[in-house]
Amino acid sequence: MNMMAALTVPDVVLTRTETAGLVALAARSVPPLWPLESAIAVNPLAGFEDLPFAEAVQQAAQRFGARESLPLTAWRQLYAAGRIDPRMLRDVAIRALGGSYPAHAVVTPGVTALDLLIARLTVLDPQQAEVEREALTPEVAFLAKWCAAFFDQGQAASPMPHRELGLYRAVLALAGHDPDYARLTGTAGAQLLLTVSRDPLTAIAEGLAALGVPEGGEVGHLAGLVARLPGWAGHIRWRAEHTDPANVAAAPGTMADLLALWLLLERAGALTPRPVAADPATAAVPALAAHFGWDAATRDAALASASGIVRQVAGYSDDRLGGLFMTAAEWTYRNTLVPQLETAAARLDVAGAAVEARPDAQLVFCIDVRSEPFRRALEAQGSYETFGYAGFFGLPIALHRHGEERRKRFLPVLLAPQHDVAEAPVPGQEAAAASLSEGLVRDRGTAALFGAAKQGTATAFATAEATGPLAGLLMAARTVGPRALQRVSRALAPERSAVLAPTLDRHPGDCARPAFTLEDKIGYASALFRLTGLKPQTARLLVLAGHGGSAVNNPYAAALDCGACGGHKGGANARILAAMLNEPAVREGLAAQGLVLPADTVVLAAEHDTTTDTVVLFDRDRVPASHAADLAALEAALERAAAANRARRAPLLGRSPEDLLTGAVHWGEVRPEWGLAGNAAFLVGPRAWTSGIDLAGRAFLHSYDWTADADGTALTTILTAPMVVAQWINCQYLFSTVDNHRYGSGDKVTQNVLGGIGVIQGNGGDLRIGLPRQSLFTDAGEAYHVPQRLLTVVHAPLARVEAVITANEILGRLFGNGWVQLVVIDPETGRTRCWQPRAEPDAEGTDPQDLTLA
Amino acid sequence: MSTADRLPTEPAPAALVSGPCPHGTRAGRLLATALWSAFALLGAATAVLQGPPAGMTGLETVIALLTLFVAAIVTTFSLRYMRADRRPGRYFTQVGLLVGSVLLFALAGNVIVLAAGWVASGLLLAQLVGHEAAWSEARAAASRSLRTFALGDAAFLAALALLASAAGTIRIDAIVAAAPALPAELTLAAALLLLVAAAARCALPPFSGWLLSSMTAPTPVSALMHAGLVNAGGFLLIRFAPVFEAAPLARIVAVAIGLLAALYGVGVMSVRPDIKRSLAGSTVSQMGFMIMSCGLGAYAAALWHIVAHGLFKAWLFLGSGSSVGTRADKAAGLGSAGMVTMVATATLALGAWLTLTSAPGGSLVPLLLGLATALATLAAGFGATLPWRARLAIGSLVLALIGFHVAGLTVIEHLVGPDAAAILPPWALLALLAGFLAAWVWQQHRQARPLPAALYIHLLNAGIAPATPET
Amino acid sequence: MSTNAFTRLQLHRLRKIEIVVHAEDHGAVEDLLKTAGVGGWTMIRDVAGMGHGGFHQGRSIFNDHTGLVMFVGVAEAPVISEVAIGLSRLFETRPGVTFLSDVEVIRSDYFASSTSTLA
Repeated sequence: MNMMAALTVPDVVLTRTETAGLVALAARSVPPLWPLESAIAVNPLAGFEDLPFAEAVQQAAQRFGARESLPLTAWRQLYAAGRIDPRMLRDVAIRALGGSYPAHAVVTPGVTALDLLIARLTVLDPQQAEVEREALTPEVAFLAKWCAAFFDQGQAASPMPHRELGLYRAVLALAGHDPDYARLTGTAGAQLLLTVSRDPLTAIAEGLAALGVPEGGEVGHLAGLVARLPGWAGHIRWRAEHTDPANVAAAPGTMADLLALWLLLERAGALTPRPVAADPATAAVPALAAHFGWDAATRDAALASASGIVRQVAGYSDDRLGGLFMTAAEWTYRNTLVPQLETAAARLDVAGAAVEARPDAQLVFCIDVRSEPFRRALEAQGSYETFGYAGFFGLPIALHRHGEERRKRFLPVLLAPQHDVAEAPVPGQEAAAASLSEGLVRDRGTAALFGAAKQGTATAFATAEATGPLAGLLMAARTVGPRALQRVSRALAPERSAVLAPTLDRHPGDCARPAFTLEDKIGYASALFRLTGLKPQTARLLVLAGHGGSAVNNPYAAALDCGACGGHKGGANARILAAMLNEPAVREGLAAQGLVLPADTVVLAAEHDTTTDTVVLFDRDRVPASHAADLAALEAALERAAAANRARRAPLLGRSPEDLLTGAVHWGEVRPEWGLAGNAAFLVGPRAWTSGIDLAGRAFLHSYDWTADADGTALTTILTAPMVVAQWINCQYLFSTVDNHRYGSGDKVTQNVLGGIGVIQGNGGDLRIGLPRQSLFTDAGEAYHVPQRLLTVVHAPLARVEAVITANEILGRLFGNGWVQLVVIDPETGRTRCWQPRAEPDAEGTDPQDLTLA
Repeated sequence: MSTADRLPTEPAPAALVSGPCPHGTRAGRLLATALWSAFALLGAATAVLQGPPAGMTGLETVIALLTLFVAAIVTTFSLRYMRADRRPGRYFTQVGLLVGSVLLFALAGNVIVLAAGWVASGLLLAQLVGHEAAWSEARAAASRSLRTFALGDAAFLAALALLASAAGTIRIDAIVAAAPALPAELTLAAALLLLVAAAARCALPPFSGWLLSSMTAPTPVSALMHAGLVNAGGFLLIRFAPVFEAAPLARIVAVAIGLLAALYGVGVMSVRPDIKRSLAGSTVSQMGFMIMSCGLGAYAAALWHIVAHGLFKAWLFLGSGSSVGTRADKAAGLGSAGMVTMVATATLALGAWLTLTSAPGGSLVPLLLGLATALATLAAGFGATLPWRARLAIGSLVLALIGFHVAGLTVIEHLVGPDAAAILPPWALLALLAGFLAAWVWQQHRQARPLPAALYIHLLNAGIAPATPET
Repeated sequence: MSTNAFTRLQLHRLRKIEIVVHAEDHGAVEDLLKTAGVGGWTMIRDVAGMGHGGFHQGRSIFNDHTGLVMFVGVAEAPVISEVAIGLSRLFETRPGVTFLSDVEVIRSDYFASSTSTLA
């Protein structure tokens, strides 16, 4: 790069609006990053979903400096543990070699091409060294430092000066005082600081011109810069697109600001060039030769063979081999699951006509993979029917929690809030609510006082001394007896959910206006039936169960909560829909739509704690006496199911069932539960279809009855919203596992919470994205989550599924580009079809299960 | 192959508990048990005897109890927190050795053992800062700690050699007893060297960098470091108090760098956007205050500060995962600026009255700052615009904490004995007090207004290694 | 309204731009409109219609980011041209259509450009 040219102020070629367009395009290369208090799973490669999966992974790896696959050694551990079927690995290898014929071609006497590839997959030493954590480059450290100072929300008592100017101008105003800037950019930087435009868009245009970025190459150039700090860039996107503007007004920072700073550094020659991955070429030839005992002549003959197959196999990178392992893992899973589902579907059609007895209770759970084993455990306890529905229960709400300044979004991030809901005291609990509310005020007051006292130059010392003894006592209690401590604190304060409930009839800002109209309520109530296939002949108890996790002192606690509720616990949404369904006027409205519920159906809300497996039933004292026995039986069944599921989960965590309860309240616990690790499938169909199969907590289950959805509206909704969310989760787990330093947030024990927003590693660097190592890998360091793409299986007529995909571009993209694999089991024909991604060759050996290809 | 017949699920439970874990966990459990037992034993003995057990001084008992307690907490915490560590055996062994080395120098009777424990603790601490060995930043932070400790340790060894050869003994008690009779230049040199050693461990400027950039350490190591290891400097000054008393200039230097560190650390803490480095800034400040107290001769106050701050900081570090949650920016003031000014003025007036009516000792400054804190927090707690019951609750909590504070200080005074004679004239003590109070009043009047740019950047960059990767 | 009244009406000539894009790109279009200085606009969600890719359905009920949205903005000609230039870059990789036309409005102050402070 010509340094002098980069410094001169060029004739700006692009207009501000054009630049804004380019910036908007470049911003797409990173997904938004939610603050950890309401952590939302996103696909770190969301900006690449327009591309076929393999190509996307490759391009993203280059742009982010990431790996494309788990290291070969990690795959081999999974292979040795029996999690990949050797036959599937063989089939994948055959397809990679172009089919059965080339694969079985003899390369040297007694050795086929397939043998070569299998040896590279399973035996030979990996070619790529396992990269250690990449060192922070100075320019990334510099910008990350200023982003941290600028976007901090409430850690530093003394905020960064000039924040009101916006990120770009604030840093320009301070960089002159910053020795880091001088060290990084030298005299060029000092000169630029005087001359560069103060408007970020103009500065970007100037920068692109000065650097001689050719027309048409601007977006790629800018996207490359965005990808150097994916965490902060993602945070900026969240600020712009996913929060209420008032929440971020104090620090106006945009993608244009960040890009203008990057270009400033680039013009000053301060960017470290991105390492270019070495071409593996044929580096593996000597290893192959040694393994198969070739002498030089044999080796040369093999290399010279016309097919070039030895060169080809020797040239496979470890990432490419890892990709084959991933496909084999996917096939292994698919080829065990799909036949079971086919059999179950066939039985379903036979049994379908039989009239079922009214169950004792019906329970609707979130589609979350953690609901499935619990549902199975509960179903085993008696006549209980369960359903899967998006855990926000279809309610696009923002909740104004009592005692909190800001409203929170309890809905999938695909939606904008339509209703503002407040909390109000539960009738009869007004006094307890008042005391709770006073407790909240008192705790806030205490925290503010403590915060202020420990910052004062005269008060910091005595504050530390005075609080030290109490800190010592609490520390011992939290370390040695956290459950006893929890019992004490529970005894001292009333349970929040027992005294406060979301209210349907009062808008938080305007008391005269209800949060929901009657039409709204009827609409949300009927959606439950339309989307899940729940029949109006409901049981005496109908329970809507949201869910959340239990973790203390854990920055990733919200990642264990309900993603469909915006990274919060789902109890509030369940309570609102339950209240709607119990309203006589709503029942009348439903009846008018043909949904006549039995008069003796009582709807209850609940919350499933996925860490402890306990289920809290809300407002249970308002259940009429006539239903007391039903309730008691259900509660007993829930307790038995909880114990059964804890016993199932404990060995997977390498702990005792009792210890799960301790871990849920222990401040040192870094893995209270496995979260959604292991997620692999998204099943759309009636529960009777899946209830006989042990899905091992790996499947999202959305209830669906194709016979009740003639126009495909319900299927469209399920595939375009809950499945999209499931795919984000799947991709987050997949890529966080594949490269835990780039796409994940690394080891929890060296994380450092920043600005209340997220975490950094150690002393600085980018805001971390994705999931920590402890959420994905076992204590022994093996991958607990096997990286594999989501497998969606739909129980519906093929024509209807095809119509839905054709009408919704997003589905064509996800299925067509291989981000999600789709299998349709057609109940009308009994045939199973596998959706063929556009980019994958339809070669021999593709489909060992002989699924008919659509 | 049976895999094909059942659904590929999670790995078999056996696979999960294989690998290095059981060994490391066993080491950890063993260590935790040993630490809790030792703490209980020593604690019970001290309680029954109402004083240090035979053969131990009050200072030694207090330091040993604090070290054992924090180490026991940290180890038990680590059993869960470090569950996925790649080298758990090494981790727990090093933590155990580190605690051992601290006890070694804390209980040492002669300078050889003292030096061995001291040097070993530094080496082990640096190892633990670089525990994530595959991470270049962690290695850089470890080597930065090592370099700082090497400097401090060299000064320490020189001081010990000087003192031992001049006193003709390696017994610490004998050296300390002989200190007043040694040549003044020699004691001054030794005291200044000891001060360098203490400043390096306490991370006082210009040695703050290692502590401020040590966040590559696993969280429990940080807790142990901030609660235990950094206090070693204070221990040293109290252990060799007679040497310092024989070298007044060294005490004045201690007061000066302590004051500087106290104010500087508060500044660093207040600008940091991340929890751990903000806590590190606070530690620098607290250590400065503690060394200043030592310099002033307020040994009981300094030792009490070591204990209480150790617990306080371990608590904050171990709980640092709880600081997720964005808040609206708001003024972090302690009540109104007017109230703060009033409290500061009253405190200063009381200080002036005390200096006029009696001959105040060095503990005047910590005691009066404690009083100002009590007044200000009580006024802010009771005077907050909250319901009266909430105010009452907050006020009672503050009163209870003040009670803890006074009780703790009293126990420590009982254990360590009298303070040294005042080193500073009354007017200087007043000036020192006035300095803290004035900075406080200035701070409260500014509230959440940003600092001047140059000062802000200096504090923000404090301890950041030059942005070039170290090899 | 009488013919007389109509002739008395003071009409102002302005330009109008209509933009149809995927809902997920609405933020980018808003950025462009703001940057160019368009003071206000109308956004219509869930636009359905027929195009190159077949029939486009409105959004799905649980996902605001599917389907198409349409923006209608009115401003002085140079401002609208500026928007169009920016859009041309966006459309290099993102699908969408735009229409420009002359319009007359009654209250021109409603369509004043927002001041572009830093241009």
